[in-house]
This record gives sequence, C-alpha cells and structure tokens, in this order.
Amino acid sequence: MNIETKLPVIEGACDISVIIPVMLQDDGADAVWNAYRSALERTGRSFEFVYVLDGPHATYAEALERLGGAKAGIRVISLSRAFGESACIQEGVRHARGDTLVILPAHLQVTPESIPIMLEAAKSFDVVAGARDRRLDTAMSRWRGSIFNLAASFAGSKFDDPGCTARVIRRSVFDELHLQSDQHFFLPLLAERLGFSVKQILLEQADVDRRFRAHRPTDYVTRLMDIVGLAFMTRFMHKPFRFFGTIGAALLALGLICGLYVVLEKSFGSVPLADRPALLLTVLLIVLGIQVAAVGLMAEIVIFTRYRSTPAYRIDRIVAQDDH
Amino acid sequence: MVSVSIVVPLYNEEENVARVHAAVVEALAPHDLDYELLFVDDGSRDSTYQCARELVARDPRVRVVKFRRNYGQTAAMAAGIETARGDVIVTMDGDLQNDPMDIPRLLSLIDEGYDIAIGWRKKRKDGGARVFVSKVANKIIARIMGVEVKDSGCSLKAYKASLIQGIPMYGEMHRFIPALSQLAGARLAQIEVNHRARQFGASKYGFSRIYKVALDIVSIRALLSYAHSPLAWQARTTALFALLGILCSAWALLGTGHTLVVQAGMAMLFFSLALFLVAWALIGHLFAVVEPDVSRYAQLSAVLSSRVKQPVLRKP
Repeated sequence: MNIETKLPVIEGACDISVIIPVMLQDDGADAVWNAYRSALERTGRSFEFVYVLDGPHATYAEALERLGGAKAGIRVISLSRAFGESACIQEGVRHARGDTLVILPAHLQVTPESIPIMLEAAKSFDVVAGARDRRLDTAMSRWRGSIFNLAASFAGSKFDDPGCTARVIRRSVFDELHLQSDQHFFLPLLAERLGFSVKQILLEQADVDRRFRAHRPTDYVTRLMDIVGLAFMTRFMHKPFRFFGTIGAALLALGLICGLYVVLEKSFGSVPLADRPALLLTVLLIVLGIQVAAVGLMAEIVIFTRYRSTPAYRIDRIVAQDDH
Repeated sequence: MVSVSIVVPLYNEEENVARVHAAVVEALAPHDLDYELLFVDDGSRDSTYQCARELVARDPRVRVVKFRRNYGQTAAMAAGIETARGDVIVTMDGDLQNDPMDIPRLLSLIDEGYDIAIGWRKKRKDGGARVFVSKVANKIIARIMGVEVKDSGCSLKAYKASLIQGIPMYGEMHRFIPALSQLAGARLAQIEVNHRARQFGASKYGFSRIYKVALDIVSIRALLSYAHSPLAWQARTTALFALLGILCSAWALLGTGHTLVVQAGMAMLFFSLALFLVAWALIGHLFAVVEPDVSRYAQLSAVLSSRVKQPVLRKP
C-alpha cells in the first residue's frame, strides 16, 4: 500500500486514540473535531486524534492543519488513493499509540455525549459497538437501515445497525483481527467469532444524522457482496461443499429430469432424439451441476489444506503445574 | 513421559469437575500408568474453570485448556486432542455419563494392537421414529464409508495419538473419525460400556440431517482421494466426460446433416467440462505443493496400513 505519511512526533503519554477514517462523506472537519474533542476532554483522559484520509482530501487536510495539527494532538495519514474504510481503520490502528481505540466516522452518527458512555462500557468489554436509536430518523433512512440490518442478521450477524461505525476497541483485538474490503461493518461480529467480548449499546443519534444520506449505487452492490461473503463465512467456512453441493445437486437433478423427459418422449412419442435442443439443455444442466460441485470440492480442498490457519476455536490459556 | 491423555470437555460442569477427577484417579489407580487429565473449559459461565484450576494446584497430572468463549463440544474435543501429550488419547464426557472404570478396558484394546477403541451403550432410551431414522442413516454411512459404528453418540473412545492427531478436525469431520481412520487403514474395536442413567441426546439424525450427511460423505470421499493422489484424484471423472465428448462428436460426424448442432453442442459441453476438471486438478496439485500438510494424511495411512496385515482399505 502506497502511503504518504505526515506523522509528527507527539510528546506525552496517550491513553485513547481516536481513529477517524475520512471517506466521501463528512460533516466538516471543524464541527466534528470540536464535538468529539469536547466530549473526550470531559473524560479527563489523555487522547490523540488519528485521521486517515482515504485518497486525496486536500481541503480536509488543510482544515485539520488550521485546527492546530500536531500541536492539537492531531495526526494525519493520507492514503495515496481510495482503499476503503477497512484499510483506513487498519492503517489508523497501526499508527495509534493508545491502548483504547475509539473509531468514529467523519460524519456525526451519534451524539458526542455517547463517547464517554462507550468508553465507560469499554472498561469491561473488548469491543463496544454503538447502535443508533433511530426513532427520530427519517423514514427513508430507517427503512434502508432495517433492510441492511435484516440482511446482515440473515447472514449470521447478531448485532444491530452495522452501518453505525462508532466503536471502542481494545488495541489487542487488532493483533488477531484483520479487516478486509468492507468488513468493518461487521467488526463486532468478527471480533466475537475470535472470542473477544463484545457489547452493543444503544446510543442517541446525532441531529445531523437524522437526514437522508445518499449513497452511490455501487455502494449498494458492494454492501450486497459483503453480506453474501459474510453469510458464506459464518455458515459454510468449514463446510463449503454443503453450499456448493446443494446448488450442484439441484442443477444435476434438473438435468436428469430434463433428460428423462426427452428419453421418455422418444420411447413413447417416438420423437427423434437427435432433433431435440432439450437434449442440449440436459447436458448443459448436468455439466453446470458438476462444475458447481467441483468448485465446492475445491473449496473443501482449500479448507482441508489450510484448516490449521483457520481454527474453529480460540484458546485463552492452558493451565498446568509445570508450565508456571 | 505421559503415556495416556484423558480429554474431558467441560461446559458448565462445576459440580462434576472434582467428581470426574476423583473417578478417573480411582479407575486408573490399580494400573501403573503415567497419565494426564486434560480438561477443556468450553467457555463455561459458572465456576468450572476455577474448580479445574484448583485441581491443577493439587494434582500435577491435571491440565486445563480454557477457551475464550463457548465454541461447542466438537471444538473442545479437537482442542483437547491437539493439546494432549500422551501416546494414547481417551475422550469422555464431562457429565459422568461415561464410567471412567471402562478406560482400562479401552486401553487394553489399544495394547492389543487396535488403533481406535470405541465404547457403545447398549440400552438406549430413544423414541421409535428417531431411532429408525438414525439406524437408516447409520446403515447408509456404514455402507458408503465401509465402517459401522454401533453408537456414534458415545464420547468414550480411545485413540492412538499418531492416528487421531493426524486426522484433520474441523467442521463436521469428527462425525467421520471412525470411518476416516478405517479408510486410513486403522484397526477399530467396539466394546460395550457402562453408562449412568440420564437422558441421552438421542441421535441427532432427522431427514434433513441425512441430506447433509450425504453431502459431507461426498466431500470427505473427495478429500480422501485428493489426499492420496492430489493430481489424479478426479482423473476417472475427467476421462468419463472426455469419452462422452468423443462419443457425441462421433455421433455428430456420423449422423445426418441437419441435426449436427445438437450433438456438436453436447460434445463441446462435455469437452469443456473435462477441460475444467483438468484445470481444477492442476489447482489442487498446486495446493498440495505449497502446503506440505496435505501429504500428512497420505503418510498416516501408509504408516498405519503397513502395520496392519490385511489391508482394510476398501474400494467405493
């Protein structure tokens, strides 16, 4: 990854690192920074801001510079092009100095007052995931949000409002968790699968978030693919043939039925076999079914060869007399 | 040097931990054995872990593996087997349904040269229809996999460590351990064991279960033949479709003119499938080259079968 880094050395200890990936949408650098900073100052703990700019965001970078830059505890990482939010978070984590990571969107999703609440909950949990209380949201946003919710829960997610990316995470979680593509939406679920304790808390939605934010059409396609990927991972990761085999068997069965029909028609209706395009369809279905099943078997082989690197369990510790 | 590891998964068994320990110690006391008792705490919510830790402090033969959260009994068994240090591994339930007094009997079977000794409970209290389904499913598995397990729900088993640690344990693999081992050339013994009265998780086979097991059998058979010959495991299927392609081509060439399109299309489809299968085989070969783990299973079966006089490997 090609990164242009402007990381000034900041003196002093730092307890909390606030990581803010700056994507396409933001509510203005000043407003967001002021809101988050004043909330953090009230906790009385030391903190730093790590902004990760996803691709060129010249005006945003300038605004951050005006806010005081390094002197104000702001560090800026600029990615050379847009790599997506997960990559931004990974990069921010790499440079963060605090042990408690507060990941917040560059647009206000929850009220700043939520941050101390989340930090309080993070004392007893590895991951605290925010979910917005959307009672006052616009109907359109609520509707879209609940569809996303529904799809995610169908795919195996146990947490509400995956679109709310306000989270507090213990740094050690990222020693094992590696986010790819748009997996950050399902970060709480992924962390839980690794055996970390995750707490979801309902937070008050920020006023500015109560309006409809338009997404690009491609965003919806990516989101759909993420959910399909999530569903495959949570349900079939260690038994992919259950998924591909079902599809393959269905196609194969269709092909056999089709073939049987053609043969019966020739036997009883004396329709010549060679004239039938249906015969072509039969062969096509059978070939396709075997093809899909073969893909599933290859997936099984991948898991078979690599199952040690994707263990189904995580050991916390092994206690024995002679070891300690 | 530990010769026997006894693996006991625990989930919310705080009142049973000490009892299991006492029962195992009592059962093995008359035999001069170097053993370890390996508890796997499957993310219990009660004080199971604390109870087990107290035992570690009192008895150096006890070890405890603690999971981060609850992952289920299969994962707990797999973790215990992975962590065990003994030459022979015994698995049993943590709720004292199995009687540790049976362990010496299982161990003597291993000493006789068997690679796996499986306990089975004679008196089962299951309802009619479920038993029937379960029996049908077991018969199907037995027929296809070439081994009949009398009681697949019984956890009390003893394995040679070299065998069980060489078998990949993930997903639903545990269901097929006896079959996998038998295919690898292991010798398998089944003996009747005691069980203390308590409800049994009757067999879990429903009709949808059979369908899933059928899929699992296909994938496990494929994996086995893959492990034995990573490049040529689907050679026969490939040859079959290539042959079908040739037949269709011949039909197209010999048939009358105007019907050529259908036969030629069929020939092309069959040829393309054969071509794709060759491509998949090459990718499988690639995996075998970059991941030395693949050859482990093949080696395992070679090691085991070389010790066995009669080859147990059966053809499908």
